Amino acid sequence: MTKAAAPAVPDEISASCRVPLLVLFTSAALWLVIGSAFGLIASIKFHAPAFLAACPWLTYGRVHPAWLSSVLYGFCVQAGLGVTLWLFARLGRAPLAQSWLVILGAVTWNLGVTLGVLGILGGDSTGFETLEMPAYGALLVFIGYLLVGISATLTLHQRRERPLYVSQWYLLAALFWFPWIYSTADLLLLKFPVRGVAQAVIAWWFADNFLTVWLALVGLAAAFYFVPKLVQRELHNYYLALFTFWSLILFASWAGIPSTAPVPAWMPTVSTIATALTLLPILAVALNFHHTLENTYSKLASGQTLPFVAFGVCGFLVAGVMRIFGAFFDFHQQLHFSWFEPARQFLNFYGFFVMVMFGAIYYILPQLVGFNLPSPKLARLHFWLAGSGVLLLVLPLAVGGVFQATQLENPAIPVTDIAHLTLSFLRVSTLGDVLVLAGHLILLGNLIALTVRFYRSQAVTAYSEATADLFKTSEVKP
Amino acid sequence: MSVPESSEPRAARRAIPVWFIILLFLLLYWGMVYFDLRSGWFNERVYAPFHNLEQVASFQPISGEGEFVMKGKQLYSLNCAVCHMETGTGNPGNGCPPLAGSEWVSAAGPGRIIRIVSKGATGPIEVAGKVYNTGTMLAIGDQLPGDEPQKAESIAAIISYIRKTFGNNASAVTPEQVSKVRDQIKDRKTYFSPEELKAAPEAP
Amino acid sequence: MNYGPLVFLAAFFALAGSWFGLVLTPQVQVGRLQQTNSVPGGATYPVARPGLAREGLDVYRANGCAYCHSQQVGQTGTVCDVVLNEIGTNPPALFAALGKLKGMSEPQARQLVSGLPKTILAGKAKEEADAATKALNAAGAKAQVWIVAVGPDISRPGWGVRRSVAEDFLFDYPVMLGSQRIGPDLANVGVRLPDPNWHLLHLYAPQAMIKGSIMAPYPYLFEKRKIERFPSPDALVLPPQMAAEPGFEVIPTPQAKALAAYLVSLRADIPLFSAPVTVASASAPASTNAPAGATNAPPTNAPAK
Repeated sequence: MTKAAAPAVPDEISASCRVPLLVLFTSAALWLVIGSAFGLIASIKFHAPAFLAACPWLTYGRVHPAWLSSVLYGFCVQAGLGVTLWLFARLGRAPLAQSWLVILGAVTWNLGVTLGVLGILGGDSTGFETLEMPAYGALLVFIGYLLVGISATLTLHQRRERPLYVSQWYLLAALFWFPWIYSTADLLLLKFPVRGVAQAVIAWWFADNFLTVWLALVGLAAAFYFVPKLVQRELHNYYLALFTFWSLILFASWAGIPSTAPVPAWMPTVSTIATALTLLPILAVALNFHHTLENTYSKLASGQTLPFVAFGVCGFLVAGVMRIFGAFFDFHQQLHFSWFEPARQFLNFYGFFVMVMFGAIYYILPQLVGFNLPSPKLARLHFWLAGSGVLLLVLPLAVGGVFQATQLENPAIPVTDIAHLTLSFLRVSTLGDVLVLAGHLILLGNLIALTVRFYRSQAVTAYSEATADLFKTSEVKP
Repeated sequence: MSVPESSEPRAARRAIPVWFIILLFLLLYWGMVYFDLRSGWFNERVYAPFHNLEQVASFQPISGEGEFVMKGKQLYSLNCAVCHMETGTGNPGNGCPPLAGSEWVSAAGPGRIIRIVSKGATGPIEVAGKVYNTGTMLAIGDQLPGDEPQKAESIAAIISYIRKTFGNNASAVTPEQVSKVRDQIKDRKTYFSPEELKAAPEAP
Repeated sequence: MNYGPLVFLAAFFALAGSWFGLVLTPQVQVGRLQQTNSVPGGATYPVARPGLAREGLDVYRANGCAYCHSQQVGQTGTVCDVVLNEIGTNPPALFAALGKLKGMSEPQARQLVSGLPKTILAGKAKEEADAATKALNAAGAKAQVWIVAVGPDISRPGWGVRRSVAEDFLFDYPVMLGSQRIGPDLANVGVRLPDPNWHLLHLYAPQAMIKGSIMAPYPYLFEKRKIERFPSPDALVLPPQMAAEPGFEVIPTPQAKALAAYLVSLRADIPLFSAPVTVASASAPASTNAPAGATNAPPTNAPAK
């Protein structure tokens, strides 16, 4: 237990975080590029079914889960962990503890995701949605998370600013949440499989707790940090944020079972009630930000971070409302099988979480390396590409999904015709895929450029220091 | 070498709006009502669109005699064929009377056969002209799985089956008839003797 | 909430609650299911899939078929039809009863009962159907209540006669219910399309079997090879525009055959206690009309309390 040491200065914190976070963020960005390439291939297959059909590694049923796993496990969790470490260090005013653990953990994590994604492409997918990575990849992923998590917990424990800010509760809960749900799901589905439809229930439980709870915990933590900080206002209501925390973890964790499920009626009923109750955290978040931003909404357009985070919070709210809508207006249970569901999921994990992470990364990067992005305009371009990409992906699929559901309700319309109707919406969404891929390339480029520039400047400094004697002695000689 | 930045954020402590708490309780109340209506109260056999177990039970198909008799056949194989044989010829060496051509089985009123199947029988009994003395039939009906309504249905199915097979041609028996008889004898714990059976009414 | 341990405890109890409710309880309730019996016949259900079909389940998983095809049929309500099986012993009483029930004259009733069995009433609530059946049986006829499931899924021909329940997936690992209907639901495809050869052709060339299909072809599940001395009996019979060049044939690999066997084993037509429905059986009169109520009745909710 350290004595009450003086709070660390930001430079010291940045220095301790630099290498671990650069590793985490760069590999996350790389996974995002790889993932969106998979996503683009999957999307093209709707317009040209025979596209790459001869290659078993790239069949839709494999490339779609590869896309999802790359984005969720390759980017989302890694970036989320990076932001967690940063926020713990900054808010606790203590340097990162045991940073070598983070690097080791990141390497293990990436190895696990690589094996997992290659396994999926090779035909070893587990068959459970959002849990497709086979056991050999999943184990490494779990170990990697634990290593990073230990460092994060130690950093929080060794904090010199003892009172906890709002974000720290969310991140601490998230830190603990993922290992439990991931290990439970992997043990009960892969190692000692439960029987029958219980597998589907546990898979849904995991997917909901990962996508709705974990992503929300980390994303909201980042939003609660960056928005008040960058508009230079206090977060409006501490207790409302506390209420959001409780209602999110209590209600949203029960909301996973769809109403169409072949399980006894109480499970979908409980999930529907939980979904309705998630209206409360959504309203609380909206209220909190609205009052925090009163009269300063124009500030949201400035800088590199705020546009992303603001977009992300809107994504959170809209995705939440879509979810509640889908639970109660489900067109005789057909909406769950339409494109509305993937659209809502995408809005949640990408339009909310990934966007907030982009904002966070664009803020943290300059702090880590000590100078600004080489081209802030590129970051702006990234925002427009990502934002429009999300809109082009979500809006057509959501609207198309509703039309699809109304047609699925009508038994006279064959499914083939319904599929054709959705194709025009899919065309627009494929364009969205292209835009987000371009955005990811910009992010990766920015990251690599910054890292290169930083280490080059370090090398230059080191070189000039080392050779200063040479020049000095040469000057002395008249 | 650092990029200038603003200070860390703080959170102001204010009261949560009252309407928020009211909304919470309204939603919780709605949730309770919704659960009561739709969940089947955790019963694992209630699936949407059914709301409770009684509703599911009320919709069970009893589509005509054929299915019922088939069910009786299955139950007969499980519970009765051990002694009375699949062919219903009985096992005279063991004191087990046949069911084929048995007047006890194909009597017009099923009151007696319901009693035999429910509570068992013992003692010298004359079936199709022969006397069987050495066997005792256990209370097979009482031992069938399930609660009382299910036992009644199973007994009715078995009796319907034996009344229509092995050359017998009597009417089927309904679970209601069986329940009526079993109600009258429900406290009985001993096997029926032929005298008691003859004294019992035939009509249920 | 300034104490880390307090936050941790909050998260712990919240997740523990959710784990208890949605992991432990379902495992106890549904994860220890045993086989059940069909109603009312009592046949054991389900039986484990034959070996080739189990391998096919694995092929289904490895190729991610569940991302386009769901395997869960839903129903939105249950209604009762009244089916008249036999005129019985007392035709005049029957005509009178029919007149009372449907408000029809005797010639109309006479016309109605020609060509039995026939659905007399469709889409009724249980009490009404029971009362009508009792009235008809009291008039000496043989009438029966048919329990019919309704819903957009049930109304689609061949998608199933009742909703999917937990027992349907008892022996499957992994259970892949699917969450999208880009392609049709496959819960009952073994009844709808019972020919494995159809499935093989469909996997090789979906557009040839279903006009306008957007399903991708799966050529890697097949092998194009030179015809040896005689053509293989397994060779696919393809339409001319897709046929292999002369001297070559297209043979399904064992994986393709397994997948076809799995698809053919999928059925959702056995009535169970949790999903009661009346199906025509061998002991029922032959040439039963599928009660028209099944497709014409608008989806109604089960008569709720």
